[in-house]
Amino acid sequence: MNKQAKRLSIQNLPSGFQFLLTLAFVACLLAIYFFLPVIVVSVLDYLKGFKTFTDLMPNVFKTQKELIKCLKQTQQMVGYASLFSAGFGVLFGSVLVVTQKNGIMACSPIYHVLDKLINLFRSIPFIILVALLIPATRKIIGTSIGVKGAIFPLVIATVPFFSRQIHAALTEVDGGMIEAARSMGLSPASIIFRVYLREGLPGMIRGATITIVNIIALTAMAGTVGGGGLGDYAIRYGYQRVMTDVTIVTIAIILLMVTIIQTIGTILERKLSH
Amino acid sequence: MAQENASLKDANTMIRLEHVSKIFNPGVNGGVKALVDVNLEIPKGSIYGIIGFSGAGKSTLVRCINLLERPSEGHVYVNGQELTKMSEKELRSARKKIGMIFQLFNLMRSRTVFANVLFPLRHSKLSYSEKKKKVISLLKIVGLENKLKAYPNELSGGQKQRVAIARALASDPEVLLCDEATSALDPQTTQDILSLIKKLNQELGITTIVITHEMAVVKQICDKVAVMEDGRVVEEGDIYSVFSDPKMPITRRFIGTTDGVERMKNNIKEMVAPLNLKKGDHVIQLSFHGDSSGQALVSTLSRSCNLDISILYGNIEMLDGKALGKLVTVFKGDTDNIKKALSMIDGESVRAEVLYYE
Repeated sequence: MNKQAKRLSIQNLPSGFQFLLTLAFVACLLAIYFFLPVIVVSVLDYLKGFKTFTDLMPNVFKTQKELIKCLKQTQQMVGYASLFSAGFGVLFGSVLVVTQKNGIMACSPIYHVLDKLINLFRSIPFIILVALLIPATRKIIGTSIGVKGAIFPLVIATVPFFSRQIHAALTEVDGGMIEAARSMGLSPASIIFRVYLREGLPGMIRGATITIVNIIALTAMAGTVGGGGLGDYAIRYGYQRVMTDVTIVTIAIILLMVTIIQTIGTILERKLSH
Repeated sequence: MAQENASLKDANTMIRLEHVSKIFNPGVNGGVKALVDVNLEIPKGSIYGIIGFSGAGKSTLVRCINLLERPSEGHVYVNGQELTKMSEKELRSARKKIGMIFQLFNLMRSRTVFANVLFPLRHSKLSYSEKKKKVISLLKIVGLENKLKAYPNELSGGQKQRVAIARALASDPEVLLCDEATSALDPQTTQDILSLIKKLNQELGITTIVITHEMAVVKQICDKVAVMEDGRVVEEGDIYSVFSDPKMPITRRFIGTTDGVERMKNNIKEMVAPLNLKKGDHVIQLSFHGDSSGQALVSTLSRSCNLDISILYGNIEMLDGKALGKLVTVFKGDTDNIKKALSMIDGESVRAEVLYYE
């Protein structure tokens, strides 16, 4: 008798059930992420009842309202910036991969211009980029301050990075598959959608995970244009008013966000690569 | 008149290459000449082998047939249509009638076996249930109907190549290009895949082009063969005539990989050294074609010309349904008698060739 096979483990469940279980787990993680402000509020309300905690982190309870407001701002900035970067990143990443040398629509002028533009924007430190973009932000968004004003520079800073990630992921797609698709008479557009973006999906998700974690880090600097966010909160209270407990709680919340994003990314990547 | 002749020629020809050349990186030092003035005619329904060492240009040649590589010069005709004249769009629909399989299978990793075979049918006019039926029947032909839901990574090399074959057949091609299709497989699996290709050729009448560096593959399934060296086709013909009477040194080398006699001929001096031949001994190769394989030639010659004939090596094989026998012998005796014997056997069905004498 093979005891190994009988052991109850997720691998031994039927594949349809396994899939549902994974889906449910990812949905739970997403729910935790989106309801983070509510969760933080209830956790803090609960901890208020214990003297240990009110002694340990008095300033957090004092500034609780501000904390929740900043957490929501961070989520807004991360959400919008990820959405826009994903769209443009996939677009530019695909353009790079098809126009590069030996690509299916090889066109070196387009490739080189895009490549250099990406290098240019990636080499500008974010804090300088924010300042540099203020006039453009005001023109395009209508305001250069607040959450809205921060999203535009965030997108400009992340699109080049994400385009590179997508480009790398799509370059990893085995050239043999592209050749097979060409031999079947697929058009370049079909090859992009049915081969590159499909077969490169695990790599793209890996890139997206890295990018979103990166955006979370960048939002900390959005405070410079009054974008608020957790980073700004930690600087204003934790650093400038020497409320160390505020800094530590902020780090804990950001750590939780990063962990959720990374876990979702890892699960999806593993499930999608066969 | 000329037009008529051309169409008459096309009736039996599936693929015609005229003066096809391909130069890579033409700007740099004159470029790399991968193909030089290749002319080929591949008859409908045949299995045509193209053999050459790595770098001989055979993969480039097969890619020039479906224009995955556009030839630098020359014309490519498939089934009477000139591919080299077509627009990209026309070319794409022409490619649907040219299936291709690869050395490393090139299946879509994120798709199941079923989805891989369904892949080329995306824009066909069939309804989904018809497509499904077709995919399952194709997988039955290649013997994988029980692996519908498996992903390529869960399959062995031979199974992957079977899926690739089913996928190539999905768009009902008239031509199947096999680019080193068995080179990554073990000998037993190679046999299975080759029998499958042969079966498809016979049952569906698909013109098949087999690119390989293994003579055994050519010997087993091809009707005709072209030998390539440095981007040129150096020898071409029916498999039987090429094997029985190779003209070029490279062809002999290839035949030598599966044929002991050719191997012996290639380094005859070392082979006869341990025999301690005496003056006047001749090492002679006798080739028996077709019916003559059964003749009692050696004993007849020995008796009538008063010679001692010893046999060093011999083999007989079936090529394209015909027998080809090769015998390496040592004729010992008077030189005049040997000459007389040679004049007796110089004929149509048996050929003698002096390989060495002291």
